[in-house]
Amino acid sequence: MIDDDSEIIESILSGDPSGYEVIIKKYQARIISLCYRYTKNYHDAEEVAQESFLRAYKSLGKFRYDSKFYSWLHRISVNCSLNYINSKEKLKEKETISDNIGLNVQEDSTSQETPYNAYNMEDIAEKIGKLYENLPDDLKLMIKYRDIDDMTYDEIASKAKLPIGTVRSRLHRARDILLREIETNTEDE
Amino acid sequence: MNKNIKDIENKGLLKAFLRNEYPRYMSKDFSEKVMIDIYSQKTNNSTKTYLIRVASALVFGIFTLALMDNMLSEDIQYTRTDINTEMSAPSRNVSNQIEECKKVNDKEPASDIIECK
Repeated sequence: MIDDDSEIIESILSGDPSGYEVIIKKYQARIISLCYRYTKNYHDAEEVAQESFLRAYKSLGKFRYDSKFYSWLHRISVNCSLNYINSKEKLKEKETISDNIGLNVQEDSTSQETPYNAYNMEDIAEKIGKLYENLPDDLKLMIKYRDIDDMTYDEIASKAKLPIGTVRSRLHRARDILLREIETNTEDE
Repeated sequence: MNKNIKDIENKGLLKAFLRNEYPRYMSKDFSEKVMIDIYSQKTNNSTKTYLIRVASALVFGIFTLALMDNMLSEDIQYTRTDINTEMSAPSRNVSNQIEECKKVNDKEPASDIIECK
């Protein structure tokens, strides 16, 4: 199976690690979100995600292209999250009751204000959600097929009974509207 | 930031939002932190490799020198032992004495004790 990321992976394996930043930026939100499901803590989720990206980088030579890169990275992240839970449980066994109270306080603090130097993803997601809902149906459908259902251009073209060129241009227009909103919300201050 | 990388980041975020797979918060410098880790590990590894190479070269050199030194000093000891052995050779000639005894008596000695004059 040819993966979208295969070119970047090849360049990293041939000695240029800078390409890995592209991989991180592409998947960071989804991987942190996955880790959060296990850690239930914003700070720990980022730490586990960081560990997952590092482990994936070290094992990049073992990636066999028999699945999508994201699926492989997903598996690594699940393993890292499970390791985190195991180590946390071992730690809990050793801790006193007062330490446990301390842990609860830390978790509560993450649910209040946006931490320093972080994006409030819920805010951005809300804006994107509204924009997506207000898109014309033909554009919304293209986004759904491509970015949510992960269909190829050929599959979309045959399903929507449209030429590939039209599929591409509609998708481009729809993405442009949504990406502009993300750009204004993630611009460096 | 490179425009191309920013575009890729935004497309990744868009996919995360559309699929409802996003965390509540995300550090702005998350990718930078990971890259710093990767570069620092790479530098550590190359320094380690360099140190291991230098250390193995040193150990090999010292071992070879010690071996050569040992072999050379063992040679000199062998020579000295040989000379000492020659020096301590017996100086008394027993066979001459027997010949002398036979000439005097001209017959076999009766006992193991040889009587000379």
